Amino acid sequence: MLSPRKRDAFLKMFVKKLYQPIHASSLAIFRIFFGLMMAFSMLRFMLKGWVYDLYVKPKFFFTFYGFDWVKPWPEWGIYAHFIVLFLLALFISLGFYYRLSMFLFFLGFTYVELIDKSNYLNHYYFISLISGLMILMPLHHKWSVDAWRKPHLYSTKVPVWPLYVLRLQMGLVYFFAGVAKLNSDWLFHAQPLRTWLSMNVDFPILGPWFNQAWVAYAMSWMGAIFDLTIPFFLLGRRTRAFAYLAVIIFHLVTWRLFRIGMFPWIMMVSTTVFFSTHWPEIFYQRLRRFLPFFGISKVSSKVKSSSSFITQTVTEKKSETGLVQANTHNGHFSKIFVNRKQKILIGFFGIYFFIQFFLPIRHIFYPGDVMWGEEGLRFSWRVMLMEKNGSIDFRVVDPETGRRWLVNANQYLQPYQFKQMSTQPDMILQMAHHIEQDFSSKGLKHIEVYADTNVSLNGRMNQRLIDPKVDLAKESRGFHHKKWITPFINSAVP
Amino acid sequence: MFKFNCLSSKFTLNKILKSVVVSSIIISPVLYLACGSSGSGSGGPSPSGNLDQNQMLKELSENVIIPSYADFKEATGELQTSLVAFCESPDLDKLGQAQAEWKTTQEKLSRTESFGFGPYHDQNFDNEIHFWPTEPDFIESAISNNEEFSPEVLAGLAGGVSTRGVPAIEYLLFDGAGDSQKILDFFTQNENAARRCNFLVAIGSELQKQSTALHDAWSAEGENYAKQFYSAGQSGSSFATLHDAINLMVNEWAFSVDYIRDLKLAQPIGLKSGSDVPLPETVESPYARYSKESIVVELKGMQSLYRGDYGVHQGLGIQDLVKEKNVNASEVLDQLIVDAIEGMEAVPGSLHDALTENPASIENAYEKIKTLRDYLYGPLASLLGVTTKFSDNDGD
Repeated sequence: MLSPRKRDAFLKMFVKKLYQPIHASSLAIFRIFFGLMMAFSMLRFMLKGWVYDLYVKPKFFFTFYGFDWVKPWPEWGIYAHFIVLFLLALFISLGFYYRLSMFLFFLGFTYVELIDKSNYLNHYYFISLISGLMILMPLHHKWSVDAWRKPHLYSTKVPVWPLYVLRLQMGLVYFFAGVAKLNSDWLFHAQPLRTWLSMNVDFPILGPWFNQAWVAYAMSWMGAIFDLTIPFFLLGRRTRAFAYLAVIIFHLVTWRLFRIGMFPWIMMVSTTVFFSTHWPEIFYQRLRRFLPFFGISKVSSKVKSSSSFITQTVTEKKSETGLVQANTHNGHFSKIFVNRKQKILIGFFGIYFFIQFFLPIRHIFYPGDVMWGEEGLRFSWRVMLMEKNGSIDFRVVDPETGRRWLVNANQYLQPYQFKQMSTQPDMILQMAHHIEQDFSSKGLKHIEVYADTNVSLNGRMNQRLIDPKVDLAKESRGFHHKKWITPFINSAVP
Repeated sequence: MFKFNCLSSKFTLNKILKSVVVSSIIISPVLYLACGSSGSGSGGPSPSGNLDQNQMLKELSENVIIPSYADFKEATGELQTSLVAFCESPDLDKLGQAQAEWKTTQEKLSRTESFGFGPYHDQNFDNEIHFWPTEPDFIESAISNNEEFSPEVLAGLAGGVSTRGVPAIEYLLFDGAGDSQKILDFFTQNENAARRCNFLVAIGSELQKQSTALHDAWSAEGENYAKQFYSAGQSGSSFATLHDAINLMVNEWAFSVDYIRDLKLAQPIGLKSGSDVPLPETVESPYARYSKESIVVELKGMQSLYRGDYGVHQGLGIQDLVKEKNVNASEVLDQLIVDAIEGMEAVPGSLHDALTENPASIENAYEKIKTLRDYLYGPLASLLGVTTKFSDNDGD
């Protein structure tokens, strides 16, 4: 245990580190691009008809446990919701009522994602997290309407902690995505990548190679190594440029191969937080060399003197929002004042990152293979790891009369919902409960609901996912282990 | 200034980065030799990967799909000829001829059901040609209330597509009990006999038009959807990637099996409605008692798509694609299709009658078709990476 004095010194040192002033440019650019990407995403969602397909057309929604109270708006409301999200994203980009816009965007976006589990994607979760974190971050002090409207807000410096937070969050995404790839299917059978690559034999130039098994193995291993190491290489001053090039190549290839929507672009933009904090100025400076007519005001001599994006700088004192207000170069922290707001912020991020470290590994507390039972699978960055398909029939039995029904759940669901439900135990349970309620509303009380499932994981032969003898109507939802999930038999992968 | 000391330049990260990339490239072929080739024994995946998938789609289009639609079109023409002949001078012989032509038409239609994607679905041919169950009340009402049946009148009838197509013609030509005299009387003795014939010929003509349009939609002489399909992923095709076309085809193929299981078998068995007795009236062709034969032919159509052969035509099929990925899987699937066909063929008499007289045979057929369905939706979908999703996803 640290003595109170040492603890106090440690806290002050920590605060000093977190509140070092840095250039506001890279974070301002991050805000601008994040807003633009979100605006584009919302527009794309509406123009592709997904608002109707995902939130109007379905008659039933798979809510998240504990969030059953989240219901979709009526049709006009959900369209209005997306229009508002689009506008909020533009406001974020412009830095217009930034904090309020960010807060409302976070709420609105997360609400949409909570409506239906069928639409869960890791990058939507990532956006919710980032937008939630951004509420707390002073990213509107530069290149924003807010700073233009309120000159006292304008600042070329911001504390460094938002950068650390974003980098850590990004790093966790990559790192745990890499850890998740350390399984036998991925490493020793190159599955499911082998299947997916073979679907892309018409890919320009490389396509004919995609049917070659060794290519799938090479890409599987390189993918795992990329995810596990890229945050560290991005942090390293000397490796950053090469690492970012790898980020771009990796995400462009996956974007072209797998049609994963906005995810690659979001990651390519988000990883700019690993750059030097004044990279936009350096970038502009370089651009001017090639485009002399691009005349804007002079860039500071300090920036001019920098020759790359990798400089991590600024030690000057600055009396701006939340920045350290004492000379700390002598190694003494007695003059640093750690205020209540800072303590709360540190406490918040401590808890936040504890959860972020815990969630991806929580599956170890459940028996069985996480890809099979999917207990602890969501919110853990297990991206592009499995090709899971199956069929399901529900059997309803009235124990009083002995009457039996074979229920095809597609009468309640859209095809994409059915596909998701057919291989995910918690969604199967929700479907069983919905069937029970439907029968109950027709006057058939106390029925039993059984699921007849056949599921194939990464090309294996079918196995039963759910114990067909368990009455799911009597089973409860929750975070406890579901004993009715049939144990996975690790049979041969083709 | 805060530095990431744990990654200082002493670690020479460039070297580390280069070495991990190089080592992963080196280790991968070794792993392939060590693990990949031993994954599935003698039935393991082919390492060659030389199948020209566009060519496979082309051969399927030209050898199976278009010839099947051509046969259906020809059958509707023969059917219409027989209907016109019957209505000119109705008698039992001509009725028998019309009934035989209807069965041929139904067979040719069933043969196409497993590739009901593209124009068949997109241009609403599925509803216009094969909406079932038909609605007798609407048909009788249409006959009672109209003298003439122009295409405009047909299009405006109450009951819509349930009053036309192959099932509606079945209703008019068969009575379910095989009593042809009773049917003939409707066309000769009934007060609406003439109208009945007019209606029959009118919907027969409409069916012929639809089948011709469907064939034209696929053929090179018409809209040439086939070219869109087999040139998937190339410029000029509406399919952005080759996989999109394969995905669509395999999805429809699998769906047709589930449709047989769910609506053509589970429903009449009584499984869907909680009935403790079978429901023969819900079979696909209750009036002609031709449901079993239709299912058998539909499964054979599915087999054609798999094997790439139809009549005198032979070429690449889905089986070649599956074989390229896993020889064993291709053989298993072929056998499951054969089992399903044999299971249906083993049902004695008509499906309608067997439901009450020999339910065990139908349950046996049901299980075989369900097994086939499970394989298509499970291992095959995983093997080919097909998905029913329509929005972007990040794969988990």
